[in-house]
Amino acid sequence: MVEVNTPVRDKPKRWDLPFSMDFTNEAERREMSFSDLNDLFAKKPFSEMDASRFPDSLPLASIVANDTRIRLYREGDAIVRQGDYGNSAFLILDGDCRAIIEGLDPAQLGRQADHSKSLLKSVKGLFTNALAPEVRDSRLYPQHRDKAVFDPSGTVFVQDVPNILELSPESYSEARHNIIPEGSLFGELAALGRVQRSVTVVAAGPGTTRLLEIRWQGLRDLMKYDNGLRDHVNELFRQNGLKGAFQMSPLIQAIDLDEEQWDQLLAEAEFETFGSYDWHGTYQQLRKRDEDLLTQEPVVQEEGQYPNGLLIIRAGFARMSRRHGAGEYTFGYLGIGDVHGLQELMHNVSTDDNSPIQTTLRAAGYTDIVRVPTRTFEQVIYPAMMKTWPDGNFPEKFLGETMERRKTAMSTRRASWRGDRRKREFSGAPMMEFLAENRYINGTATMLIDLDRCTRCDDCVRACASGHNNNPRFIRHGKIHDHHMIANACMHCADPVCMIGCPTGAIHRSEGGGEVVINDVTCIGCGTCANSCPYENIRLVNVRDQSQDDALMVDPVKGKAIVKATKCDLCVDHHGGPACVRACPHDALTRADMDDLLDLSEWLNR
Amino acid sequence: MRIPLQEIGHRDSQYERPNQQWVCGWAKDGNPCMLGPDGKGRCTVAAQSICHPVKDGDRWVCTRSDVLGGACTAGPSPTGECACPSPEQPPCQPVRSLRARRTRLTIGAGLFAVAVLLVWLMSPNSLTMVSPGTLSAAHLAIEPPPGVPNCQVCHQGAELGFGSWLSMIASQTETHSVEVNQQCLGCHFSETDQAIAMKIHSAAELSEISPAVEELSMLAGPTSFLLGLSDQVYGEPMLDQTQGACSTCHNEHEGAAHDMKVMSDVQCQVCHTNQFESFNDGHPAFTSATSISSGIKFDHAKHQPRFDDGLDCQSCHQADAEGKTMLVSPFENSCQGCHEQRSKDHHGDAIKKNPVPFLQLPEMEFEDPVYWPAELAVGENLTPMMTLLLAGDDEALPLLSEIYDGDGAAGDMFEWFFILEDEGEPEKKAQLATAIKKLVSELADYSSSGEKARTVRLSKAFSLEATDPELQTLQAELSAANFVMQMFKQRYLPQLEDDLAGEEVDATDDEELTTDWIASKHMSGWRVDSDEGAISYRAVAHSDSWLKTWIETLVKSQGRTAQMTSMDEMRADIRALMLDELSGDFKSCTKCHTVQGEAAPWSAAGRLYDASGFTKFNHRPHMAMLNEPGNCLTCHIPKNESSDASIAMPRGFLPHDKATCSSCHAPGKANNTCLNCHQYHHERP
Amino acid sequence: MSIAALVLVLLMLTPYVIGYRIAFSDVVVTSGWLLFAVVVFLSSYNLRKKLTYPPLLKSSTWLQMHIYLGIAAMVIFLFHTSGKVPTGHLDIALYALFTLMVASGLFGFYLTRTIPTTLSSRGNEVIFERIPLFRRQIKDRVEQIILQSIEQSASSILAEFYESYLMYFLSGPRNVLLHLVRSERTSYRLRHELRESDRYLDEQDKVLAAELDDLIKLKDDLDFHYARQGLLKLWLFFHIPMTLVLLIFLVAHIVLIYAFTYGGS
Repeated sequence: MVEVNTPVRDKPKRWDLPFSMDFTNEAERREMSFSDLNDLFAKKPFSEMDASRFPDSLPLASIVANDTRIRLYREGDAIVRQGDYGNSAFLILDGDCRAIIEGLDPAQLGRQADHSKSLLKSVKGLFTNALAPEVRDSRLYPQHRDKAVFDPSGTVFVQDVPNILELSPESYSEARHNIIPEGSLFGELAALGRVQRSVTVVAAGPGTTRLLEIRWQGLRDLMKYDNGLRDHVNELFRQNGLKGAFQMSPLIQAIDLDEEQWDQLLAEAEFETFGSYDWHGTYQQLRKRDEDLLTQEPVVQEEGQYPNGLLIIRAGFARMSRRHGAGEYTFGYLGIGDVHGLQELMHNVSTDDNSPIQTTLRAAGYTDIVRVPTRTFEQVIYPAMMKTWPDGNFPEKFLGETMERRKTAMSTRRASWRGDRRKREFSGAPMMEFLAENRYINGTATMLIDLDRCTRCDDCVRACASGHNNNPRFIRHGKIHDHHMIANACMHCADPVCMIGCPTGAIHRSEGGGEVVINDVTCIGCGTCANSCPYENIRLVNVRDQSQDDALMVDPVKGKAIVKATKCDLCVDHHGGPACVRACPHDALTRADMDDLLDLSEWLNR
Repeated sequence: MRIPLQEIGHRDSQYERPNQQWVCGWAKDGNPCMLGPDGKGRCTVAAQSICHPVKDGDRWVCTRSDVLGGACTAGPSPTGECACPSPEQPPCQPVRSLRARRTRLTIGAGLFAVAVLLVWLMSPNSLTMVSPGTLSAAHLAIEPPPGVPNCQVCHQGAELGFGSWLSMIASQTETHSVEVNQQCLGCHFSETDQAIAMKIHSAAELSEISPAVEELSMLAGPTSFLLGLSDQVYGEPMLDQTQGACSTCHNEHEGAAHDMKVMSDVQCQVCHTNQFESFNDGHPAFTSATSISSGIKFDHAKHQPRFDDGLDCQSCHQADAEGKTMLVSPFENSCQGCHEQRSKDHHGDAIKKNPVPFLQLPEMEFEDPVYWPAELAVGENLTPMMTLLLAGDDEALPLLSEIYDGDGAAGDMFEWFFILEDEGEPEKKAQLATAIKKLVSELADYSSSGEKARTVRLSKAFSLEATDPELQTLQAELSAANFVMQMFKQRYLPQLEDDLAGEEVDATDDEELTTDWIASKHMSGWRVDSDEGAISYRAVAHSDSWLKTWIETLVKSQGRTAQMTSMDEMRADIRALMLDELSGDFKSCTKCHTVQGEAAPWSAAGRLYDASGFTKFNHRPHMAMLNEPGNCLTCHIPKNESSDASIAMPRGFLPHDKATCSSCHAPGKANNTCLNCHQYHHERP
Repeated sequence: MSIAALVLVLLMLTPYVIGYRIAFSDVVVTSGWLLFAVVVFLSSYNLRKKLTYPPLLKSSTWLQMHIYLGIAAMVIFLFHTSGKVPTGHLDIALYALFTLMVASGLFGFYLTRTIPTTLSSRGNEVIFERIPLFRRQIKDRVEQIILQSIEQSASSILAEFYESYLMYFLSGPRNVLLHLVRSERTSYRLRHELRESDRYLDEQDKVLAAELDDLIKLKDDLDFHYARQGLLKLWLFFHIPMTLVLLIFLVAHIVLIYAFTYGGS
């Protein structure tokens, strides 16, 4: 659109919209009443909190009033589903909940069963594709099949929970499900750490189960000013999640730690969170106001600081930059499991020197880190490293992303056959800046198009359409840096923010390769995912009914045309990987994992 | 300043669907509707514009989907009817997408091509359309039988129409090239030559060609790849079989002016590429000298000093009518001038001096009385001609075999007599005498029965058919000499007939005659010896018919080896011995004529073609180029050093120097192509 | 470069081409069938594009094969024809078809290797099908500016400029041929004209004129994309229909060759 002047909007303020009003379903929207609050403050843990410790700008009562909401569940309702991403934790007010660890079919949770089409079916599909766009078989839709499954609130009812729990021989055994008693907090790990829910929790009745849903912002503030809660949550994490977080780091995986060392490490590690958890929302607004993103990103560790510990990225991304002139330039970024500050620490341990941190680390969006304090590093990790590699030849891949290493990676192809005439470097700082700035670093299958090769023939789009019942699932446009385009196709993010808040769990990670896919059957077209995606890669479409001569499908109750969210599914249903890549006659298109910079730079510089 | 045209927001930009066959009719005006036509090219405006208003309390609410522009501002009518104004455009006529139009264009072009082909192939003059080009002028002149299309002379397929051409692929025959070839060969080669016309360089056997050709794998370049592929498909070409079609090299249908016989060097070098580049670069040096007759022994170097006396090459050699070959003038024109000048009797002087004994009665003593001119029979051996004639007598053959046995008598009569004495078989002498007497009687018999007997005898003696022309000539010569034989019989065995008839005769009764050389016209050259029991002959002139006939017959009988009985083998051995003996007797002939092979070596003509069918040369244009007349020495350089005498020609010529040729035959000068000197179809010697 | 190398290779092949018939087996038939097989394979690339899902090698691999086999087909063709132009009607048609195919293929190869770089270095990256939409948006914005100019100032300079130059320029794709040779003359002249009239404008109109200048550039770049992206699509409108025609003629050729060489005895 030719809009030269963008209207300036007011910067959004916290609590513009209380959590209790934030429902897709109008029926559930209501302010927290005074009696509700009174009721809450009579219960643990709120009854034990000291309101005076909270600052005037963030009073305890306001936090509870705005960042929590009460939700009611019937027996068998799923509260959280295994594999979901959520941004809130739950406190059980009345009733019991059960955590089901195994035994549930994905279909029972509203997911698409993982199925790959046979080759024959794939080929057959090419000839039986619908003529019209977005044609669906309405018979598959639950609206037409069984209305009871589809609650207007969007909650998925886990069918037959009592049976699942009772009829199996080991029905009440600990292995399959845990009873979570009244007053317990659950879901905090996923809420604070942006990891998938590890279990499914269902309301186990009898009657209505009442839960307090606390969104992560509130939870974080409560923890900040109430030591009791913080210690409780941290203790929970230390027990349940810390070892797993450590093991995501290749370095910790590689070194040999004994029981005692592990205990020390787990006891002394510290957790920190930087940046905004719902970064995708603030990011979009910041972009619109044309602010320098880098300066807005919270600093995790600053260039020139004393290294106060080894940082391991637990969740999110971090940008690495270095002062340059009056500003900073980006030369790389870190993802889950990467470490920062290792070289400086090692240098200091081995030489008695006191070298400061060489690069600034900022939270790109948000970053959760686990910090191993310097003393613990010296006592546990460094000796373990020396034990594992006695000769001091530490494998480069464990050393963490230093600037020097990035530079070598970037310049592997610099030596050009033309001798002194250097080939242009397409994966240097400007590209890093571009990728970090636009948060493309999130992608694991980002569609990159080399516009110097692309003949705009649309073979990729047509190939895509042929595999999806004649519907393309991406658009061949997008942001461009130099001659490389990041096309408008789902990147299958490492941190899939689109999945937050899907009311039916229709958008989920596939079981096989972890691709982010949408179950067309359970999608209700609410648009949450499309609005959440910072890259605008999810699109809503009007669907047509194949049994009605491809007429637009209309919800008979609401009179509205039925809309579904669609996006690239990386051709999980088909053999041979993404059709777009294979269909490009000029090798101009690739799906790149942004975590693999070597691969990426090789492609960019070929 | 870069103004962005394209927003990528999910509300701003819907999926672009290049796979759809139809696009909105308003798209070309930049105003497409949001949903686009359906899959069958129908406008969906109606479906887009309507909504299903829902009553919310007492108010009707527009329910149009966000994807279609969201709820309209006006809202439904108070009665709950949809009043959405959008989309702004009226219904369109959807158009096919660019790609769909390309598909239609492709199909259209295909149909057009089929139509054009059908019109061409089914039209009355379809043959003209399918003809790959005009025939060469010569072939164009071939008139087909009335009512038959021109093409059908060579292509049977032409008589049938378009419909059958399709079915013909299935019913094709394998021998197509052979059949087409037959049509070419019918006109261009004689029946005997047809067998070899298709063979490579007319070679019946692969071994006749240079071994290099066998190694087709030596072929270089992309051709070899295609040949290799061809080998895979059709099997390797069989060089010694009828394979290629004439059209492999001779392309027809290339226009009236096209000369089908012209081949370029590269065409030769498909096979010969590894041999050499061109005549000037890499062609091997000539190894053979000027071809000379295998028959005539002539020392050119010896004659060269005579050039001062006015002799030159053209004294003996003259070009033939075409100028191709330098013929050797006959003896009378070339040699006689010198070689008879100094002879007094106008005969070759050497020839006269050496009479050849024909019959001589050997000296024999018998224990029992035998009719034999004991006093006059003084011969120590059997003469070669007599031996040959006796070999025609089955009874005499074993005796001859004993006489000429290499381990025994070895041709010496006295030795044989000794052997007979030792073995106690003296009566064999009488048997030999009888055989000789029978021979004499036969030779002297001028009646037709004598002629018949002689023919039988000769036929046996030379192992030749009675009808053999050489044999008949010899018989005729013998008949002509009848008179002399009678004289001999009269002189030495006057009572021979009685003796052979079994009557008692007495040798002492014989009277003496004193006849010497016979001077009568037809009998010249013969002599019946007065007291040595012999008849001799000496040649009366060059190419004496008596001697010539004997030599020709003898030479012809050489090499008759098929189906030999033991008798034949004995005769063949004897003939071989006699040929040697006679060669000694005919020294004056063998000085110039050498016997090699089956043909009698009289003539020197036609030798060039015989010797080298692959190479051709025309003397005449070259002679015109020479400054001095008769300066054949430019190319033909006599070999002056003495050579091995066993070689037919003691001193001939040095091999030609290639440089002599290539000084003119070079790029930019005279023609230096392969075909200038070499020919593909030729007869092998 | 590669074209020159190709010509060189073909020149080097010439002697083999002329001599290769004389090989004492049916080499012309062999090369003919080989050529037919190669042409069928080359044509099947279009089929591969339609069959997206069976993993039949990447399309880029197919294109590489398409290019190399296309060159191979030229060489085989040279052998098959012995480097001579035929004299029969049908044969000439076939010869011309093949030559056109090769020419359009080489032309397309040249286009696909040169145009993308020019596209990515100029203007907005746009989807071809959306160009009319963008053109219309630009036109709407320009008309808005002109109306604004008429409203806010007394002079009609911009309106006259619109009427005499812009109306035509904006109403459709312009200067397609000039864009194919990468000439920016027209837009340069237009913008020059606009700048020249700058001195007659008041301050408000000058702001509008500056935006007009940007919009002219935008439209010109859009035309540039239209012309060049269009050419990338257009050459296939020749290459692909011609393929079918060639195949049909090839089949006819084979039928006739067999009917007249082998048949009827």
